[in-house]
Amino acid sequence: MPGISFHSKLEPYFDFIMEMRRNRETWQAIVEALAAKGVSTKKQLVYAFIKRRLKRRYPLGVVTAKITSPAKPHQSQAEPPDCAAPELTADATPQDEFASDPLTRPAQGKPKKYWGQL
Amino acid sequence: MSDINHRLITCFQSSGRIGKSTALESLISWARFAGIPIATVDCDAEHRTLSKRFPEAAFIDATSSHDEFLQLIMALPDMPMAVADFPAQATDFLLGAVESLRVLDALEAREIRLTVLMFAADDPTATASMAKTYRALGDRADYVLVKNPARFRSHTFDESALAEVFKRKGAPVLDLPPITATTLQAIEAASAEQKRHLTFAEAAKTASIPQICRYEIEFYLNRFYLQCEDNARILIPESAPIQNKVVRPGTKSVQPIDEFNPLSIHE
Repeated sequence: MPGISFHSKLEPYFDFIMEMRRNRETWQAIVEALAAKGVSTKKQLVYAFIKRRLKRRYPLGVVTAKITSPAKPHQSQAEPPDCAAPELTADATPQDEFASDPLTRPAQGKPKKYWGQL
Repeated sequence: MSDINHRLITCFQSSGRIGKSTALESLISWARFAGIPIATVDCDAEHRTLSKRFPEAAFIDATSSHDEFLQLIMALPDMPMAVADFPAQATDFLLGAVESLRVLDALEAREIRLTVLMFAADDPTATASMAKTYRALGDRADYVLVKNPARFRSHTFDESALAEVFKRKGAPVLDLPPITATTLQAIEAASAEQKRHLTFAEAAKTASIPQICRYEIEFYLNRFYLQCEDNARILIPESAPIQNKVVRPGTKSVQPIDEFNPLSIHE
């Protein structure tokens, strides 16, 4: 098939969606927020996108030669990138699908306390 | 046995309401009394007995996944004594995790020896989980039999082959002295008043608890501490000296009473 490999139109909004989820927003609220940014989608699709995106960046079997740079939080809130003409950057994919992806790495929070010392 | 620098004390049995958390709570109180540094974790998400009574104790739902259990073992601090309170109904999970993660090997590499409390209850769930635990751990752990007459009977267990095995191994028996319901209610009332869960050691010093109840708590603690001190070889590593000694009741030479002349008592 000609053209670039498939990538979701939600890809540029990944950080934006994750930020909303961290703020405990519902999937429907996220869909409405995306609609306000001009992205028409359904809550089921956003959910499926995030679940898949957290496991690996691209669906299995998809070779991505050119990748959209993920939007930074402040960019996505102020000015969403143009989905029709994504900004192309150098390959930011991990070495392989098992390599550590800084975008999906869990946030470094306060370390869990496993033992209490008396 | 000589290269044991740490002890991990826990119970893998499945029965609930047999006094697991109470025994571990009393063990922690003894360790504090004896000046032994101790690490604790409460893994019982349903009751959270230890973390309620000891705010410094960590709470981790370690039986939710092997991953959490592994991290708990990895984070085990280098302290002479560590106590983990696992929930009831987790025997299969715990023994499965111990086997698949080779926890005993990992503990031995760190010179940690496991001490397992075995509640000698006649309840079929308790005996089955006890047998499973012994079969899984064998000689690679030390065992302490616990009898809690306030909660269960031990007649059937005492006559079982497993009891013989423990006897041959010299496993000590820890008797939990019963505490009256009145005293337990007084502790609960004092806890509600102070808006925090009191340990037995704290309750013994709480003025709002009637004096006779405090005497009973002191008796309980004294009896328990005595047994811990007598069996310290299996509860703490040799490298952890006991700083305080339990006050032992006076050793009176008791004269047998003459049944034909019982009133002839001479001081």
